[in-house]
Amino acid sequence: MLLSPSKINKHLGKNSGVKGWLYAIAGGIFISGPPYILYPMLGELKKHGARNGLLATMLYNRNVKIYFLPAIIYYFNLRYAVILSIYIILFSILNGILLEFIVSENE
Amino acid sequence: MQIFKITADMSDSVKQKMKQAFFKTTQVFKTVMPMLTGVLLLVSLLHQFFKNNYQHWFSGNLILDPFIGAIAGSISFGMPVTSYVVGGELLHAGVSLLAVTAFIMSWTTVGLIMIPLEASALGIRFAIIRNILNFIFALIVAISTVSTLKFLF
Repeated sequence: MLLSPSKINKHLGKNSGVKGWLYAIAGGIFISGPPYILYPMLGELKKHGARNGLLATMLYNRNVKIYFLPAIIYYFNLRYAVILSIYIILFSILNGILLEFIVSENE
Repeated sequence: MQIFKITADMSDSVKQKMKQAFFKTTQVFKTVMPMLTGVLLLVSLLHQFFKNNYQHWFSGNLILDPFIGAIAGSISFGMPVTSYVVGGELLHAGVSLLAVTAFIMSWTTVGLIMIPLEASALGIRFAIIRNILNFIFALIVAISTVSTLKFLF
């Protein structure tokens, strides 16, 4: 509601380019909430023109949570947290590209 | 003076939009509520069934353990921080870091129980393909993370 369809199309749509991927990664990291809240919200973004790949990237990056870093460092360590987060971000892009390749936009 | 008037107008417009957003969110909640109730009931049931079994599923096999970890994470559900707590406890119990990482990864990225809800919002093909890809990536990320840690430190 706060984002107009044209804005969604511009930032997360077909012509969003590299910025779109960056927005999707940042969105996934900073977005908070359980899946049953996120899925309908992402469904609305999709209806307004957001790309499948970017939505998948956003969902994948939910595992990188800055405010949960103390917990992961406590149970594992800082090195583990940093390396895991880097891999999650890298694989989220690959995940988005592959999903977009397999699932067409109108599905 | 003009600037204050424009700011006040903008503030009214934002307030109006916030009201509309709140109303629309309430409508979305009403739609999701029946599905949500079913999901929560199923999750509670499965959690009671699986919560004491995690430690018995891992045998120490370097090939099987990550698979079991990823499968356990896929059928589990909760906030990411819960997976760190469970993963940390599994690590202390002697489960390999590879299996624990696969478990943590699939906990958040794969949601078998949530597939119906995901499919209703984003499409059945999207939901199935995303979950399959994320399961495979959970294993690859686990192997990559543990290998990198071993290589660097």
